[in-house]
Amino acid sequence: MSLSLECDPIIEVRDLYVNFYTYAGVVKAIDGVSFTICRGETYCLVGETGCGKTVTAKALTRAIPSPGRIEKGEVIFYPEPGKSVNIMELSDEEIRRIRGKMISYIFQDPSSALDPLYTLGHHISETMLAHKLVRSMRDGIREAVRVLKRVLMPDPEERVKSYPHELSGGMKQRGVVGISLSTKPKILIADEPTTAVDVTIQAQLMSLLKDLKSSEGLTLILITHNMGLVAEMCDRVAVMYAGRIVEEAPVLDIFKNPRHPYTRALLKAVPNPLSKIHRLESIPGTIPDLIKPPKGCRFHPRCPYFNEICLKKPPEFKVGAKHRVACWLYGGVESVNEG
Amino acid sequence: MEERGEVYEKKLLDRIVDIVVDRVASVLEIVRPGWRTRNEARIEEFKLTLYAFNRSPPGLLGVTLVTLFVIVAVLGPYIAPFSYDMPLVLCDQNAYLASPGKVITVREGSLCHQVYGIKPGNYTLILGADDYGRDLLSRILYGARTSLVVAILVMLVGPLIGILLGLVAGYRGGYVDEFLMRLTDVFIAFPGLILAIAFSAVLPDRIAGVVEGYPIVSRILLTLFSLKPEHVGPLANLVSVIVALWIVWWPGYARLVRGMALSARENVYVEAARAIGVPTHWILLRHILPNISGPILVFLTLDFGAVILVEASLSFLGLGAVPPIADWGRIVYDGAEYFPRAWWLVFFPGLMTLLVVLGFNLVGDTLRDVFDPRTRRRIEFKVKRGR
Repeated sequence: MSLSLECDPIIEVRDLYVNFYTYAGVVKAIDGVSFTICRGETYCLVGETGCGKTVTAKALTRAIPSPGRIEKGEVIFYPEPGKSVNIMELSDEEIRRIRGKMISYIFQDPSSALDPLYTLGHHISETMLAHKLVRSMRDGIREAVRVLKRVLMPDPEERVKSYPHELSGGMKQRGVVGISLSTKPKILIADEPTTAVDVTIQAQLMSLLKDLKSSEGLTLILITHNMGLVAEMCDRVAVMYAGRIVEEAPVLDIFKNPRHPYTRALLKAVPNPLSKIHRLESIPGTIPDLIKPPKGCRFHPRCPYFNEICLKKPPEFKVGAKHRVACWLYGGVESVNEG
Repeated sequence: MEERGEVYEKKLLDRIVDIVVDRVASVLEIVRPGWRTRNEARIEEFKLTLYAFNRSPPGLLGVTLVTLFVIVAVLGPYIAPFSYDMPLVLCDQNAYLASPGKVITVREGSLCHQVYGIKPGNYTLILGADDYGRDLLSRILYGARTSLVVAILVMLVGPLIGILLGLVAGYRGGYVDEFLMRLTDVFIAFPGLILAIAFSAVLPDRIAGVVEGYPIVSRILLTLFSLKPEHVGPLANLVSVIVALWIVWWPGYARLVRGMALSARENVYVEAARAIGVPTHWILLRHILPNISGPILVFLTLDFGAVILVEASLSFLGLGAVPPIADWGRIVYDGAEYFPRAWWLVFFPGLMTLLVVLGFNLVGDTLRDVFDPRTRRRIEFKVKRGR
């Protein structure tokens, strides 16, 4: 089904469907998403608000909040090369042990991701205790100092005793990273980690994540709509639109040679780090209503290359070594699969 | 604006708060070294909360009333001039429906002296006596104990059931929530008092078996209520009131907590905790419950008074404590027969109930002001300005 990537996969998503059952109707939030992430790489999910990036990431540990439900699909996790676990078949307790321990998250807004009633040390300790990495809260708090040193927190001995309101935005962000890394996870999912902090902290955080990635052998899944960040951090990029991956390619290909009309439009809408500054263009139309998504290619109502065939769901076409795109424009090229 | 820190003008009560809190902190420091430095912020915050409380005259009145009630309830049985079941008519005919301030005489060698061991001499019945000549003051003092113990036993269990069910319902949502809430609705649909009447009318026989079957249970209860061992029988009725109140007292809490848990679970830190694999019961007890504890605490305090009132009402209807057990509601019930001639039998227990319930309500109201961030700011400002 998915591309043969000739890499050591760490997680593989096959044909994932997620629906949200709301009063207004069934929201088809994720509609047949497949991808493979290689061990040790940084994989980016980009797209507009509401395109399903966060839901996809949460589906990796089945952490979709109600009323959402995973309808179909498989998530195969390879904790070690050659060993595989099907996340969809695990019991609640087994999945809990994977969350945080194997696959960890960094949330968007560090100040609301911390419980105001507890110190930073308590948070870190709690995470380790939940995965039985320390014997008691007190041991955990001692261990937390070491964790905070790893994320380059200034004055870690004092900061473990600090409550969230006593920390600055950057310190909170580092603390949150510390919580996620305290269990030494294999995969770190950073869900728009830079949206709520200012640019200097963004830069600090990104260099921190890069360092940690090389020192701890992390696989990083970065969810963002910041194209600059994508260019800076990612190895491979998946562009999502209305619950589907429309294009997936190594980072340079995305910027140099975008294929999907949506990707092109998206790149024209933000300053492109690889080309000269030009006038930014907006994409006409609005994000489709996912209760009644457009037939066929979900981008067709906004697409300048619209054609009758677009009313049929486009399969993924391979347009480069590691470059696939779901658009009929590339129908002449060798087809990868029949979606 | 002044600098933050020790600049606000302190009242006498604030200084007392300082001394008490610091003493407690230094004791904890001895037990667990390093505690004080770790909890510096918490101590400061706690003091500020108490300062804010000190700025509320009704709150202070409430605290005074409640403190007096607790002292009376704890010490009452030891300072009462007579036992709660001593029929003083055996000593002196005048004790029959004695009015407040009446003096009775116990004669040397009389039945009272020889059998009941009451020293000969003159006794003033400060609050009068009932138709058996039982000293009303003594019975009110013992009755305080009854009220307090019933209230504590009810509040230990009923709200706990409600809080746990509410947490689960609110956090889980879906069918679990639907089921638990409809069950709660069923209980709320009946007026609590009626339901309690039904249960306390049905339960005593079964309860009596338990109370009398397990000597430990009855011994503990007798000590708590400060009763004589021969009064195990009437105890069953009192216990059945407690059980009846357990049954009717949880739905309010279930609903309150469910609503708050529902909004608390949407906090990002709850989601974050789930995403990093914190077990559900930790999330419930460490992240959700502490974050909604303020309103629960207010509710508990207000309910303390309500339980005392309902228990007195049940006794007044003849369902709770049975004579000779001293209980304010029951004293009013028995005294009503002689009203208005023996008005004191109705007036004093009623007054006591009123004051105690008023005290708890005042404390609850003030706690609400202190815990609610919106009113809290205003009070805090008063503290900082020194008013």
